[in-house]
Amino acid sequence: MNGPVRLEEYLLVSAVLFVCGVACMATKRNAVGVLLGVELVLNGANLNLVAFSRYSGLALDGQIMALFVIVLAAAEAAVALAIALNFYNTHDTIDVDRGSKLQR
Amino acid sequence: MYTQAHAHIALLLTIAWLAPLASAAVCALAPVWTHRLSRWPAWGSLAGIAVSTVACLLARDTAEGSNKDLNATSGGGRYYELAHFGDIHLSIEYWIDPVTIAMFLLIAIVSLCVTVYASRYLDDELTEDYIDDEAPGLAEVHRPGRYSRFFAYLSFFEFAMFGLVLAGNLFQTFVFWELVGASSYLLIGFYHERPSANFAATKAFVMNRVGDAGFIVALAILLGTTGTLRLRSWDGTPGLLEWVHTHGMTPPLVLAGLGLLLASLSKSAQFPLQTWLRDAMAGPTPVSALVHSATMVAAGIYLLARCQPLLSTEVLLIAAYLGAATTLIGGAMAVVATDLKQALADSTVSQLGYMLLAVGLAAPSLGLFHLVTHAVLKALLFLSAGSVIIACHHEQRLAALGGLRRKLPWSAGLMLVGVLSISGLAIPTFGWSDEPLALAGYYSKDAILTQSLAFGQVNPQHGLLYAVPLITASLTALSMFRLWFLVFAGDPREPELFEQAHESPRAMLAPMLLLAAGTAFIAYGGLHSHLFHWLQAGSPELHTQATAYRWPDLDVFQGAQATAGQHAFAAALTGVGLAILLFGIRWIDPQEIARVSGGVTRFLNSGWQLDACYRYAVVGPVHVLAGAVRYIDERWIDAAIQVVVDRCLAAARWDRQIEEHVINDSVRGLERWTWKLSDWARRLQNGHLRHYVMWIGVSVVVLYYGVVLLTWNARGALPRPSQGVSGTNTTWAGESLARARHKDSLISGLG
Repeated sequence: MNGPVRLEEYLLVSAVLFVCGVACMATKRNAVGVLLGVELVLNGANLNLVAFSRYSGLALDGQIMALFVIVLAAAEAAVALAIALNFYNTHDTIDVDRGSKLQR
Repeated sequence: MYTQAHAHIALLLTIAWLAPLASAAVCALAPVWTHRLSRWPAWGSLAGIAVSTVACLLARDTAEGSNKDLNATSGGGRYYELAHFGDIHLSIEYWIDPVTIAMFLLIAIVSLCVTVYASRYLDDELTEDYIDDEAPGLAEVHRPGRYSRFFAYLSFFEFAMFGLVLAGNLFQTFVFWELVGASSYLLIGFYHERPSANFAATKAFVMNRVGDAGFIVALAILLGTTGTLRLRSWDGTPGLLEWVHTHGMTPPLVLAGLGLLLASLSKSAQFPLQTWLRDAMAGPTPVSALVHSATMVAAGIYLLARCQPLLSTEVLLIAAYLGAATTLIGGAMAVVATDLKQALADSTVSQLGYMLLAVGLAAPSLGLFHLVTHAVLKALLFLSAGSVIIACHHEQRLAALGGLRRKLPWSAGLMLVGVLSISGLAIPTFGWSDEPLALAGYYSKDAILTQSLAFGQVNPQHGLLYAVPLITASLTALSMFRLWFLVFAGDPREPELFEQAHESPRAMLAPMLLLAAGTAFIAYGGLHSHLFHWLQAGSPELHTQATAYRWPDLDVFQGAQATAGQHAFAAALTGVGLAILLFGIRWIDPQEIARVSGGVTRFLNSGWQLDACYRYAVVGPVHVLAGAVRYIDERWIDAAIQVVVDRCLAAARWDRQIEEHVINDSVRGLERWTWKLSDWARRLQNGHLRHYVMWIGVSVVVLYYGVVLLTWNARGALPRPSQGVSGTNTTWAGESLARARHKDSLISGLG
């Protein structure tokens, strides 16, 4: 904690967020929980983008890209929720383990 | 004009030579174009030989009509050259002179008669089921008849015989010599289900091979010494006879002469190779008539007569003595023969001895004269014997025949003509004409005896050469008349056989009639006859080398003629008289004589024990050698091969083990592992969403680090960004940092 905050610390935080998101996606049985994981992944990437925009020659490019990502995340969340709704309509459950029609 | 006549004669004789080959092919293919019971094969063979006869008659007219000198149209030519090795040429050639034409006529006419005769004689082959019960001690054999095959063989024999006479060089003669021997083998062994026939055919062929060895040696010596194998040449190059005339006799030629003598001894059944002719009677009677009395056995004499100048005087003398000995051997065997055809075979051997004697006394034309007359009358005798055999259902033993003159009058009469001819009887004319009235056999035998007497007068130490044939002349008369009396005269010895005997059909009698006419008129006039004129025209001159023996000149010959004629006549009368006494009126009983001289009879009947000699001397050792070779083959060679075989089998078995266990197992193992791998890989796709997500994450990380690792060394090659404003820090992070500070300083500068 000595001196100003460096780039590496931001990257660490975003990595932690990313990993948490991936872990959430991989382990949650609830479909909404998987979507939460997706959000976490996207936000971790956002944080990464902003940190690079502050500490390197990206200037405002990273922040613009983060805005885009936020918008896209919102759109994607809507679509994902629609899929989850459809999933519920067909399988009568939100448990992803039960929907194993992808099995060979 | 002469060359054109010669070309005509050559063409006619070529047609005569090849026509029987065509008919042989036609008869051989008879199963294709006709059925087993048809007589057409006989007509086919007859057509071939008829063409030959017509061609020969036309050739004779051409040769005779154009001039008085018969030798003017002589000549040779080449049909086709087979090969040449430097100066040595092997070709198919021909040589035609009056002797050739005369021999062609003889062969053609006798073959014609025999073919006509055989077309009826072999009637019992016209059946689907021929019952052969003639092999004593064996069961009956049932087989289909083979009429067409006989005529195929017969025509092939005629082709080979014509070719032998027509041959222009000795190699070609040898080729046809072998072909004649081969067709004789086929014809003797015609009834090949009988062991006797098989044995006889093999014996004939093997004994002829002995002579062939001599022939081949002679051919080699002649070719090596003189460079040619033509007897008389037509294109300027010297033939063998011209070579001998210019160079004289050399030691190699003596050997060659011995080889040729050996060849003719075997082919013409002379002592010591005469035993095969008796056994050759196992063939059908037409075969005996044509092959083994008239033509094939005469081939040896013909060869020697043609080659006579090539033989040195020693060889000729050996030939003369062998001939004289053979006459006695054959004649004695004929007197005690118990079988009809066997008696005729022994008499053939005897008469061939006369011919060999004539050639040995340097009078080949006399030998050929006797050859022609003997061919005609022996064929007649065999054909009449055949009609007796057919009438008595193939009964050949003299002990079973008798009194057949009442049942077979024509056969008896014609056979009597033949017997008279061979006995050499004549009716003296007491000055009415130069020559007595006689049948053909008298003239030729008389001429030979004259020559031997003349020779004996000039060289007194060789008197035996006259005495022995003279004694044999009486033996011949005795044996032939004995034969006639035993078959036709007296009372039948087996009445049931006698009852069903009947005369032969006209088709069989007509040829016999023709031959009887031939034997009556063919040699009328003896040495002044037309026939002898022909035979003498082609004969080579005597060679005039200085020798230890003097050849009789013509005046000696003519002086001896009267004496020899009287002696011969007396000998013949003695023989006939004895025959009448013993067998005609039976004043002395021949059975008594046989009982008293039993040992001699047995000795003679066994062929002077010559067969036994051969059995001990030749056949026995060959069997021993064959046994030894067989032992080696079975015990050693076969055992060695068996070892190799066993090793191969073991190797094969081992190879199979490898294939089954190693290869198959490895392939199956591979198959099993592939299944296991696929089973494991299948578990990746289990349909669980969270597993898929986890795998995505894992693979992203792995891929990222993989890329970093792979491009780690290439990092140095990455393009560096250009120098920044401050120029101190060249990394792009540093450069943007410198720009940010620059902006800060601008902003702070403004504010």
